[in-house]
Amino acid sequence: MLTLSDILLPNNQSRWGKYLLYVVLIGFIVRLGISISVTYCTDIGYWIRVSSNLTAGYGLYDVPGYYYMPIWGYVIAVLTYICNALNIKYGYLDSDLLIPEVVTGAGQITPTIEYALIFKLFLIIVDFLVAIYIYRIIKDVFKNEKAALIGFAIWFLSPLSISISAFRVNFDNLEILFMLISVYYAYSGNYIVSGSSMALSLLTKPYGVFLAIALMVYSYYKNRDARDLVKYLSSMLITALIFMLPVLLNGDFIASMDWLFGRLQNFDKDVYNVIIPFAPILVVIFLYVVSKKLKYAANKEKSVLSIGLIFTSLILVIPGNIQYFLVVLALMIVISSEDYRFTYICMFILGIASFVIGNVSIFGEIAYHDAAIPPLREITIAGYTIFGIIRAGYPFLLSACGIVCLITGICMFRRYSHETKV
Amino acid sequence: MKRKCEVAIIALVVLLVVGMFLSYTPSTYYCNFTVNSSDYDIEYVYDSNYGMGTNTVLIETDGNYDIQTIIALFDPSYASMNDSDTQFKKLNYMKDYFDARGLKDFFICNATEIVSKMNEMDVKTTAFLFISGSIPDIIYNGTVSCPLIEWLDAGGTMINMFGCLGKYVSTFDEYYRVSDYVELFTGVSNNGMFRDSAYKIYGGHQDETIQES
Repeated sequence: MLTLSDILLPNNQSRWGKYLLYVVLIGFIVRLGISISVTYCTDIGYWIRVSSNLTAGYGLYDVPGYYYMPIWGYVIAVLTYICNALNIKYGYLDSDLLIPEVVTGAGQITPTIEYALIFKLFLIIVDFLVAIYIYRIIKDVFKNEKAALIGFAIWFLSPLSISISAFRVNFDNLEILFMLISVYYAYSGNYIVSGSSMALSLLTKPYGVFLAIALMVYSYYKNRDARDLVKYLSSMLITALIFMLPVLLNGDFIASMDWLFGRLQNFDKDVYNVIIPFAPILVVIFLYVVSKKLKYAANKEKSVLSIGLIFTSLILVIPGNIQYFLVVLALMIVISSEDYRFTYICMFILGIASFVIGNVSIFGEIAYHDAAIPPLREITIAGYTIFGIIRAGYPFLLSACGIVCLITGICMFRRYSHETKV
Repeated sequence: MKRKCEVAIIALVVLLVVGMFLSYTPSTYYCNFTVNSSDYDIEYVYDSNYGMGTNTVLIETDGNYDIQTIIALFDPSYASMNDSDTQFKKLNYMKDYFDARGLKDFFICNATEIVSKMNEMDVKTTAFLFISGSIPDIIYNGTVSCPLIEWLDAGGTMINMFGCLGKYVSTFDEYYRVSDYVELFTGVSNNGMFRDSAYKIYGGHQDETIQES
C-alpha cells in the first residue's frame, strides 16, 4: 500500500518507487507553480459570491450565487472561514484588468491570489488523493503494481487534472475522489463505506449516478447476499439524509437542484421532455440490463466501471464543459490497467482536452491580467478572434471526445463482461 | 501506515460536517461602519472580524442635495464595458433597493432620453446613474462641451457604478479611452487619485463611487 512515507522514502519501495517520487514531485511543483502564477476566472467568480454571501450571514441558497448541490458549498464555507481568519480579501472587480469582449458575467470578478490559492491548495490535495485511490484500486483489486503506478502518473501529470484544479478551480475532482473511494471499498467488501462515499459523490455532482446503480447491482451479485445490498443502499441514504438535512429543513431542496435541472434543460427540449417523464422506466430497464450482464460477467469489477464509463460518456456526447471529462478520464485510467491499448485512448482524450483548454483558457487568462497594457490588449483580442474560428468547433470536438469515450466504454464492457459458466 | 489514507478521508468528512454547520448556523461575522463629521474633520470607523478590502472616494462638495429622482442609463445599442445582461439585472436590483429606501422615482432610459432629461430635470433633485462602464458619446464625449459635464457644471449629480468615472466613451460599434478624464471630472490631474492615500481614502466599496460636484 502506498503512503506518503513510502513516497518520501523511495528506498523502502519497489523498483518503481523512485519513479513515483518524481511523479509526485513534478505534479506538485507544476500545480503550485501554476497556482501562484495564473487563474482562469470563471467559476471562481461564483465561489467569491458564495464566500461573500456566507460572510454576510446568508445560507448557501438564501441569495443568488450558489447553484450546486450542497457538498461543495460546505467546502466553500470552511475555506471562507480560513480566508477570513487569515484576513484574506476575496476578489475585486476592476475594469482596467478586463477585456469585456472576452470576459463577461461572473468571470468579471477577479480573485486575489491568496483567495484563489486557498481553494487551489484544497483541490490539489484532492487531486493527490484521487491519484492515490486510482493506485489503490489498480494495485489492491486488480493486483498490478506497474499498472497502478502508470495510472497514478497519468492522473497526477495529466494536463486536464492539473488545469482543472490549479488553473480553473473547478471542483469535479472532489466528486471523483468520493466515487473512487466508493469503488475501492465496494471491491474490498465494505459496502457501508462504499454507499456513504457514493452519496457524497452524488451530492457533489451527479455524474456517478450510473456507476452508483451498477455498484448497487454488484453489491448483490458479488456474494449473492442481499445483506450487502441493504448495507450499500442504507448507508447511501443515511449519509445523503445527514448532509441534506439542513438543506431540507431550510426549504432549499429545489434551489439545491438548480444546477442539475439547469443542465438538463440545456439539452434539446424535446429530448428533455421525453426523458424526464420516462426516467423511472429507463432506470428499471437500466437495472435489468445491468443485472443480466453482471450476473455472469467474468470480470464484474471492470464491467461495473465500464457501465459507469459508457453512460457517463453518453452524457458528454452533448457538448458541455471540459471539466466534465475528468470523470471519464478517471474511470478509463482505472479500467485500462493491464490493457494499454485503452491507455492510449486515455492519452488521446487528454490531448483533445488540453488543446481546448490551451486555446480557450490562455486567451481568457491574458484578458484578465494584461488588458491594461495596450499591445497585449490588441494581441489578446486578435488571438481570441483568430482562435474564435477554432473555438466555434469546440462543441463538436467535445462531442467527438464523448463519442470516443462511449465507444471505448462499450469495447471495455464487451471485453470484461464475457459470461462465465457457473 | 495504510491508515493514513483513511485518516485523510475522515478529515475530509469532518471538514464537510464543519462546513455544514458554518453554512447553516447564524453568522459569526460582523461589520460595523460609523461616520463622524465636524466642520473640519470627517472620521470613518470600520470594525469587522474578517478581512475585507475597502476604498472610499471622498470628494469635497458645496452642494446641498435632496435627490428625489434617479434616472439610469440602459442602452444596448451602444457598445459598453459591462455586458447588457449584467447591466439589466443590476438595474433591477437597484430599482428594488431604491424602492425599499423610499425613493419611488427610478427610471431607466436610453441615451437619447437621458440627453433630453438632462435639459429638463431639476439639478437639485435628480441624479443620473451609469452602470455601463462606458458612456454613450451623445451624453459624454471626453470634453467639457457635452451634456454630462454641463449637467455637472450646473450642479447636477451623477452616480457611477461600474469602472472608472468618465474613462471610456461609447459609440455604436466600440468604446474608446479618454486621456484626461480624472481632471475633467474632478479638476485634479492625478490618474491615481482613486487609490491615493493623500485623498484620505478610508472605506467603502470600490465599484460604487458617488461623484458630486
